[in-house]
Amino acid sequence: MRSDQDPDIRRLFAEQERSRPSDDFMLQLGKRIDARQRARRVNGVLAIAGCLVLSAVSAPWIAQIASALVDFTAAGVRGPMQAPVAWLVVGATVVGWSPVVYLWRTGRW
Amino acid sequence: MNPGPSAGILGSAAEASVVVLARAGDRAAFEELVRRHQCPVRDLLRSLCRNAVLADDLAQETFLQCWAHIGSLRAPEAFGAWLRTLAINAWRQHLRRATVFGKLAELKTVDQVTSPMSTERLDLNYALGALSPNVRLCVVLSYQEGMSHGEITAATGLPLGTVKSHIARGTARLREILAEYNSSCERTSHAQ
Repeated sequence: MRSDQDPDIRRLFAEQERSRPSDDFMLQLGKRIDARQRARRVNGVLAIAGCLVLSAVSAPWIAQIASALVDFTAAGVRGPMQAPVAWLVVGATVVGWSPVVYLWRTGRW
Repeated sequence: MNPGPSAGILGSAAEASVVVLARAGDRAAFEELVRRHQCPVRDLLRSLCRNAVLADDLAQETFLQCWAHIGSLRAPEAFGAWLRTLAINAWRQHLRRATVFGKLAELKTVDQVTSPMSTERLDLNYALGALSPNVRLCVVLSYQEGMSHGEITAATGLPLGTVKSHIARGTARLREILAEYNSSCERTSHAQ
């Protein structure tokens, strides 16, 4: 017993009934782990399917935007009039990749 | 969860080795850890919740979190302390949810049904119900788990001074309840 503890309170805690190992607890836990793993698998499949549908639907717009950005960048490289837009595109690309670089550099990928 | 053929070997294995196996995704090793730690975790949560059914539910949530995040545990020898922290976090999360959904008033009503005088021995659950959650947490970790002030600070994230004052305040309050209970017992025996 530690000297800073009250002996009566300590005794009160020591007299408390302790729980016993329960097979039912293990069984319930096993079921919950299986259910959670199943749910995670289903969510993963749904997320992949959703991403595929979204990318298929938005592919034309993404292609259009990407080609416009490439045009802007090319124009910016050719002439000073478009330079700010070109830098914006370059900056956005660097910022967009920075989480990937960070995760890779810190080994958390 | 049925004990597999390796259950006997795992049963006698050192805890750090079992943790390393569980960390690698071995379900049988994890089951062995649950077998070893379910009683302390359930007892801790029973003292914190003062409700056996809720405590078992939170204990299961604790082990679910453990299974999900055991890969991130760097030091296998610290498994017990880590698991206890998970249990404390599960209880705190439950308290937050209960506060948000206004269930605390309901819980307090349930607490008041059990009187310390209704049993032959002082009902510790009743006495603990008289303490605020953080004070109760520090008192239970100190008296039931036998943790030092420093260990409680590490497990709860509370400053050392706060832990010390919570334990002192909680002990004083429990002593008051104990004295009240003892005088009530004496009055009853005199009346008989």
